[in-house]
Amino acid sequence: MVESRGAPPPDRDLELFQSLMTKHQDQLYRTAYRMTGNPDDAEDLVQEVLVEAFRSFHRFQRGTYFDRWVYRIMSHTFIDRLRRKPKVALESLDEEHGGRDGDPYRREPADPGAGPEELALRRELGDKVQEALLRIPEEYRLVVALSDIEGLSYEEISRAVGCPIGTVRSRLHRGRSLMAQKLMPYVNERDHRKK
Amino acid sequence: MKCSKVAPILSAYLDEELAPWQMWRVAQHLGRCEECVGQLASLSFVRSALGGLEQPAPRACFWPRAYARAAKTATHPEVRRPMLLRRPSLAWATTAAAAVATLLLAFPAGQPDLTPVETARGREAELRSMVKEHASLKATTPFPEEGRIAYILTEDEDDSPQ
Repeated sequence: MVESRGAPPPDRDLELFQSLMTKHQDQLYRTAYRMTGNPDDAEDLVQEVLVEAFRSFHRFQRGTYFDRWVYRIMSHTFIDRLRRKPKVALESLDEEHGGRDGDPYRREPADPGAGPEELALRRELGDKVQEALLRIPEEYRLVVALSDIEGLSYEEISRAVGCPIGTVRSRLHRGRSLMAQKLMPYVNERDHRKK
Repeated sequence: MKCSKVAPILSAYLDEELAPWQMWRVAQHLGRCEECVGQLASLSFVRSALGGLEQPAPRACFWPRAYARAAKTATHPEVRRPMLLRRPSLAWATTAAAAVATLLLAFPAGQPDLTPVETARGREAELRSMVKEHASLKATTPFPEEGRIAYILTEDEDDSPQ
């Protein structure tokens, strides 16, 4: 005897879900990318989030913030994935990615005013920042990404992650402090090189 | 305010997520503490470095496929294992363990099958030893419920085999 997990959502739900999701999909992907550190894992994470969010879409309360609800699902999904697959691959951001279908991943256009040296320095810093972000505990990482990359307020993060504001405050502070410890030697060395 | 109080709230100060009186007190402290100013500068650097990261985007074909896959997965619900093959949940395991423990206490293993007369005799002997124990206890500690033991004896006499 095989049991199903409930009735499938109707088509109109898919339309509504997709219209809500489209508004937030870019920021969802960005956060997933920063959390996982590479495009393949980010796509896998987002895919899992989409499946889980659509499956439980009937539980989403209309009139509440959809993005926070999805972030909450992403937070749980990410932790589940870490439990299943403890190692997260590190990847350099300046590496050119060949897409699985041959088309390279789109990147934000670089600042046209910046020279090649400046661009190289920025990319190097970007790599270091991403590396430092991946090395802090994942519960800090999510809060740091939501605050400093997506620009959410403490209250918004608290609702998205499902923890009190005090916890958000301490996680964010610890996350940033740990990142500062990892980044400051590089920054000092870079400044020394410039001189 | 001391450094030990200021340090943990420096990030919140940077984000202006403190109460006005706290903002004021941290600012006062920063005016005379170079160490905390240095720490604040490090935190500020991390925040701006994160904010300045390139914004990645997935392949153009990712989203249509992802939505299609999500819809497909939802319309073909996850096949679950039959009840008997599923791993028991913690709640079920706890309930089952409690039920087994209760049964073991009620019907201890190795207890011989007794006839009704043997059972009644056993109960009578048990009751007498209880009365004896109660009498010795009553001698040392006065028992407030005087009528209780008489009630138990009466009940037992009524139940005894004729």
